[in-house]
Amino acid sequence: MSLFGLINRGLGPMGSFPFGLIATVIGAPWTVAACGFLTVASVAYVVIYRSQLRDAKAVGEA
Amino acid sequence: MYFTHTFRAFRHRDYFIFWCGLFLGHTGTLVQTTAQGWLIFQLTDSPFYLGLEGFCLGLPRVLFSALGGAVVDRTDRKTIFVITQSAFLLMALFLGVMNHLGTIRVWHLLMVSALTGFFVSFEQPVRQSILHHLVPRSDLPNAVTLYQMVFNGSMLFGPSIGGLLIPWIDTQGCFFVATGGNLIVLLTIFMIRIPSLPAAQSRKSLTRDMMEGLNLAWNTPLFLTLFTVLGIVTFCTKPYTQFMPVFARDILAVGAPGLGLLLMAPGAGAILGGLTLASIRRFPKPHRLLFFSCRGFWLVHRSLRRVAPPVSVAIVFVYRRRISDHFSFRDRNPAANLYR
Repeated sequence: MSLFGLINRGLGPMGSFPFGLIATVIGAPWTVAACGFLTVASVAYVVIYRSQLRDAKAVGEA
Repeated sequence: MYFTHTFRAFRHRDYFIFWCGLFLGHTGTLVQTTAQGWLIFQLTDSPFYLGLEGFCLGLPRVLFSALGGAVVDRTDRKTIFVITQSAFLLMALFLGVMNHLGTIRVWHLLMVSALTGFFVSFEQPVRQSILHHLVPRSDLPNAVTLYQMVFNGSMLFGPSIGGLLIPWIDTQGCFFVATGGNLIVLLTIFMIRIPSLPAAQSRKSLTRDMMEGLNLAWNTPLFLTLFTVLGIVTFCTKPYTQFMPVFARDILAVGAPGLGLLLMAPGAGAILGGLTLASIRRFPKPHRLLFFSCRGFWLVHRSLRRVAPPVSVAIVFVYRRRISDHFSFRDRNPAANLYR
């Protein structure tokens, strides 16, 4: 739970700084687009290539 | 009957007063946040400073959250709550006065953000700790759910009120509104009874707790994957709200009211996402959830972007937040509790 809280609260603001820098160079719209692309691409990679998520069962599921 | 059951924690006077105070106070804080972002962009014309403001707010929260939790365990909670709320009140008042005098500079806003982050590290654990003592154990789950509504609900109202107020009473007025909200929270704390905590019992240090968590995550492939996904999603998606003033002013040309709408959208998304997840009887596989969410996001964007661009963008962000909600299970039990 502590780790979850730290990642959830901590990494977002950490991203504001580098993406703010990037936004001054390429503009806010492209920065947000890049954020979206990075998110979808990396999550898709994890989902496709890491079988743990596919094999996971919800609590209570047989 | 339905409402009596749904809002049963409100039967307890102290909880009801505390909840109302928090709701008004948090709405005021979000009015202030909206005004701060707008003012920073007006003063600097730079998205870098918007990002820096988010960084200034977040970094102290990371650095001091462990200390905040430890202090709350060992100190009188009412005292901490009064100190932190007074600090919020004074900071909002400071911004309002400086803005009114025309002497406000960007470093004032960054400093207030950093101080806010610092005080939130103490205020958040004390707020949660107080909550547990205002209702009997049987009503605690309901109280926690209603407590979450404070944040989701105020995310819906706060930014939109802020956006509407900026053209009317300017950013300085928004800061004074936030001051009023903080004053209400401060008053409510004197209207309720907060029992003292017993002396701090021996408990594991947060550092040790964190190391155990890291160890578990590293050695359990599912946890490692989930935390990696959560980390990426949080790192990449949270900063976008910082850039909303750029979209509202320069790209969509919808001004401050549009900014309010854009910032309100993730709140609506959080509520929608939460309700959707709550209504799911059989939890789907995470990878299916991903593709389902992406498809919804894409369809809404395609269908609306040519009809009404600002609305389209707002709704896209609703869904975007909803997607990230699905992945990070934000404001809900961590994924580790839902999957095994």
